[in-house]
Amino acid sequence: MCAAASLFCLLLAFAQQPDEPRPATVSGRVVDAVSGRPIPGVVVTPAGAAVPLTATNPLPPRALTNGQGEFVLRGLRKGMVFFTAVKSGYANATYNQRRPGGSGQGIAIQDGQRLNGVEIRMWRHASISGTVLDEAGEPAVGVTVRAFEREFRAGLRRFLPSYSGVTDDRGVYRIANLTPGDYAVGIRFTQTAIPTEAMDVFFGASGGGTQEQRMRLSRELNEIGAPIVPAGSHYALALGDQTFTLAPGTLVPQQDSRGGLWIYPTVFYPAATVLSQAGVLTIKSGEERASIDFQVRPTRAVRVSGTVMAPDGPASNIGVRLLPAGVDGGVESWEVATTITNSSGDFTLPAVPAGQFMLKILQVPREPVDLQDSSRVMVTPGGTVTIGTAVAAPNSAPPSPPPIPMEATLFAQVLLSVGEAEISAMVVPLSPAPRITGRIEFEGSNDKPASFQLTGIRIDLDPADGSRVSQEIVAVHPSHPEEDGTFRTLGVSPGKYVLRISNVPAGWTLKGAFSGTDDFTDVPLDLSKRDVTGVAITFTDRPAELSGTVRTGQSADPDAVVLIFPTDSSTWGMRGPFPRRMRTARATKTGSYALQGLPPGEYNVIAVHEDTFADWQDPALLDALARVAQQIRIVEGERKIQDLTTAVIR
Amino acid sequence: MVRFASRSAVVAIALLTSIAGAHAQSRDRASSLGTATILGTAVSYEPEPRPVRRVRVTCTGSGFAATAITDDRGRFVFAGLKAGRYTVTATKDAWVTSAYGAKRPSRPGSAIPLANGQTASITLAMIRGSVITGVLLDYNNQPAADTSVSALRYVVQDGSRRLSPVASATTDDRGVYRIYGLAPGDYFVGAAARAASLGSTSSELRLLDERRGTERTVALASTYFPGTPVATQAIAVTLGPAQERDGVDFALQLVPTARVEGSVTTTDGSPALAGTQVNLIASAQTTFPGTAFGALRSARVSTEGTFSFVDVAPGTYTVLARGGPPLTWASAEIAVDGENVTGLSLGLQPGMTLTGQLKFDAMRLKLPADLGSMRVALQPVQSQGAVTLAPSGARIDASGRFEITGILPGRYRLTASLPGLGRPGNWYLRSAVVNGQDTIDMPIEIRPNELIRDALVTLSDHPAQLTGTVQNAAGGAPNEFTVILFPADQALWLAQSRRIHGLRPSADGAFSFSVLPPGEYLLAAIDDVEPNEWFDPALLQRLVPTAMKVVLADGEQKVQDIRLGGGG
Repeated sequence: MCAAASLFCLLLAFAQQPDEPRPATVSGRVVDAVSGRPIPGVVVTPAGAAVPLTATNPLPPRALTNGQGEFVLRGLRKGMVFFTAVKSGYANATYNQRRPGGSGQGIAIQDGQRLNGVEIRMWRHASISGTVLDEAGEPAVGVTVRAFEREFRAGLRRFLPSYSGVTDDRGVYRIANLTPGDYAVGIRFTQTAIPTEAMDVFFGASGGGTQEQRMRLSRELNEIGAPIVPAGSHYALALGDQTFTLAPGTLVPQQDSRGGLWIYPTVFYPAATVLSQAGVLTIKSGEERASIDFQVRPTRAVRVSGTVMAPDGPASNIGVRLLPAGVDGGVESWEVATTITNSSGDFTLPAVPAGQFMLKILQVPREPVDLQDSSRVMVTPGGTVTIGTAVAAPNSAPPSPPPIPMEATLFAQVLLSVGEAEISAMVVPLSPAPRITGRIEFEGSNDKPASFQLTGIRIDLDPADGSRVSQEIVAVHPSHPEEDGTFRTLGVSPGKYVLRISNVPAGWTLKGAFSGTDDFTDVPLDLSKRDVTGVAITFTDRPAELSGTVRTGQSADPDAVVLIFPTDSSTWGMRGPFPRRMRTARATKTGSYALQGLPPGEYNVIAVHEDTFADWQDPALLDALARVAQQIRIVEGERKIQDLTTAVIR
Repeated sequence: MVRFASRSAVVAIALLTSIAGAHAQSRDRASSLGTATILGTAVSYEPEPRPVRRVRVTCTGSGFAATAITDDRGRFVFAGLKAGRYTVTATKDAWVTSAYGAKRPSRPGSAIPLANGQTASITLAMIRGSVITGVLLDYNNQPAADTSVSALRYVVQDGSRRLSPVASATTDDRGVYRIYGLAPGDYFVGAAARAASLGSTSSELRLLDERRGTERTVALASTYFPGTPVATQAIAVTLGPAQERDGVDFALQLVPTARVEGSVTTTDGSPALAGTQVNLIASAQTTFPGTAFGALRSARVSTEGTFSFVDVAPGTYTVLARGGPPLTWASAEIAVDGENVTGLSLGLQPGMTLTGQLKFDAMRLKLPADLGSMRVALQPVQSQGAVTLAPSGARIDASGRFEITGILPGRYRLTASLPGLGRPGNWYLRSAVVNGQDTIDMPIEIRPNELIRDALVTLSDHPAQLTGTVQNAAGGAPNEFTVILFPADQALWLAQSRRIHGLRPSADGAFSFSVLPPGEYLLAAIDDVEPNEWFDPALLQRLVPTAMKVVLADGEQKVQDIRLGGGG
């Protein structure tokens, strides 16, 4: 072909710089994993060292598959490339994935290579649909119905919030984008009432409060998810000195002749009040599960009120939440009712259904509001956007994260049994919440990180039981070390936690967070009563590494996944949602695998095909795997090689 | 992948925006100790009306606002009302919001006059909202899932007629959408291609041609029913009351994309500092209605002073570079139509500055003790871009002086903010004069290199007020009219002018316009008019022959009745 256009080829050869690598090209097809049919309209995005990026083009070009599901990506260079395939209606996929949501593989690319025939398989999403009617058989309109996927977390079965659907004018909902698994389905109804004096800061007759008061209150209202609405509008009802919010998607309560409120309580399909009692739907890939219908019924609610007392007096304008008592099976408990205290520290929850609850209050020390920041972006009702012209100097360093305040976080947790009678005059004292302090240490000869890298290290406190509840509820706020290498976390609700460290500086690996011989990135830390001090978060430049090759029969097995977990079965749970000693690694195309940064200890290691099991953190499965796994010992700083043979799990 | 959305400030912002009208209806608990009552029933608007339960009914007027919920028989009550005029509106999800006394759905109602001890019994007729439903496909006729589809209507905004979303829905995994709760009328239906979020970058999307083996860069375009990316070629869907219109199916269109590249230089001609920000701002016409956040993209210039945007869809754009601080700027208007735009050269120049003085004209209120919480700001008047850049508001010093820096060229109003500003009984912004022109009535154009001194912002505590009644020749009080007040000077017939108002008189024909700046006005009554249609100069022109002239002096409380069929 080049002969026909030899002059062109010659010019091209001259134009090519001698040391400039020739670009590589990858082409292929995206197909439905079940039917094998090509999927058009898929966006395929490359990532990895094989994708050259520049300051002016910081993102790689993407390919859109044509009617035959085909794509081509040019301009790659030597290195690994990882593909992500995205199309609505399908689970995101990567190359050589064996099940939806499973692990994929990268492809090694050489300069000038033309790699054809790359096939990416995608699995269709499943859906759950149904109808929500009220007690009169009328459609419940605009109501959010959420699916919860059941997974093992820290050795326990827990429900994680997944996708949701919103009912239409017929009460019909449809939750799409579901991957195969076990699901519960529920509708949340949270009763939110705000002291009218607080709403007056926004809507008061005398002009409301100052900008600073509004911003401070907005922050507190946002923390409890309360809308800012005036009583006397379509979005709120005046109930005594409270503004009871009726945000869109709220089922309107009924007022009886005695002024009592009948509200709709949270419900899980088919008619449970907590997730742990919900029915479980097992959904297959691409399944359309219909007729998951709800009929919601109002229940009489009573008023619960009291005063929140901080050590120095009444606690004004802080969030008060009422949650189901005990474990409800989910990693995110839905509030039954929320409010904030008024300027005298008093709170009122005007509509609480009967039941057992936990009243939770967490007062986190806050930064002063930034009045300058408030006017930078403005959206007008017409949909136009106005942003500030102010610019930062182009070469200025990124701002450091705000320091964790010295002031204590205050908390209260009170069990509450609500029946048919009003509860009043509760006095809820706040106590200082325990926190962790310590320092950052580096073991090794590599250059110590710059101060901005140090302050970029993120420190999270994860509940050891895997109930990674949203920040609004227990305020497991990330912390950052100071430039002098010391750190402190915010106070947290009493309980057992493990430390999770991320944004680790380049060239360093986490060794652990030590107090004596205990490593609190692994062993749960009891933060029930008092602060824990002197914790050394330690990084090393000699991390332990486990690597090897997986074989099946005589040949390398590129489809294997290597699982590693402790031999001591008592440590398979209560190690937080991301246990450091339980890891997986997908084999490469040549069957090799590698795992870095494992803490020293005794481990089971096994290679399997991941489409042969569902949730590998299920203790029953781990028990079965342990019987056929190889036992190994990892020593600090060791580079261990361990070849494996793929095991067959039945 | 984000698997679920956490609650966020978006809820608060969205509601705050949607209830902007309720902002002025401050609730006054003390005022609700009267003896009048409104008893009502919400019923369906059909040959055999049925009660509508769980309707949110609001009653506002005379400094009072309250909400009631209808019972299973559609009944509601507002008791303990003081003598005054009250407006009652009702809303229920999937139904059309209706106001008592409205001539048609979505039109303003008329107030109910109440004397002490009086009980008014009213019936609110509500219609179930209409529905538009269909299937959205992609360019391969496959279902287009997770895509927002909007029902749009033309509104007059900032002086021009624009499509604006009324309601929207998201397609499910089958591409099915269902938009409900719509009032009868004509709607355009459009699907917004997923735009980049504010300031984010985007990369090229390449499609391999099946037959020729060539590639082209493409993007999914926002598309209107029956299948056009051009809004003016969209076909309207007409809805009757409580009608369900199905089969409104259409397919997203694919459009070619291009690169936009250029360089930025400083005021001395050298390449701009690496990292200098460049924005690509789509014009309002290029942006799908209601998706302004996607109209702005950001890039940084390289060490050579160059910048590049890829994946730019056809349309008109502003390329804006900003250096500093202090702010320097450069901009260019471009049109993109599938061909790369290269070689743009942007030379930074200094931002503009405006200085001025704040003055209070007080007759009864005390001057604010602290001017620290007040701000004076230049508010951009939307013209072409869906995104506008505005300088930060300026604080005011103890002597009332202020300075606004970092101004880009454009049209602006000078405004001031103070809690309660513009509410009855409070301060109001009477004028904000720049170069002899009151910018509240007539925006000013700020040009490159302009230095503006001696702006004067005046707050007053004595606005003018105009009240009266509409009477017919027989002395009756026909409340089905809308009263329109507008300036005599046609140059002031601008969109959202503070001098143009329309309202429905109460059931007894009474009307009241408060917080008015002094000036010459025209007053007219018209039979039927869409909300905000009174900002349309063509309508005002038609009213001129029958309108009566009203001159309001500073702080004047004037009474002027309208006699229909007979003159004032």
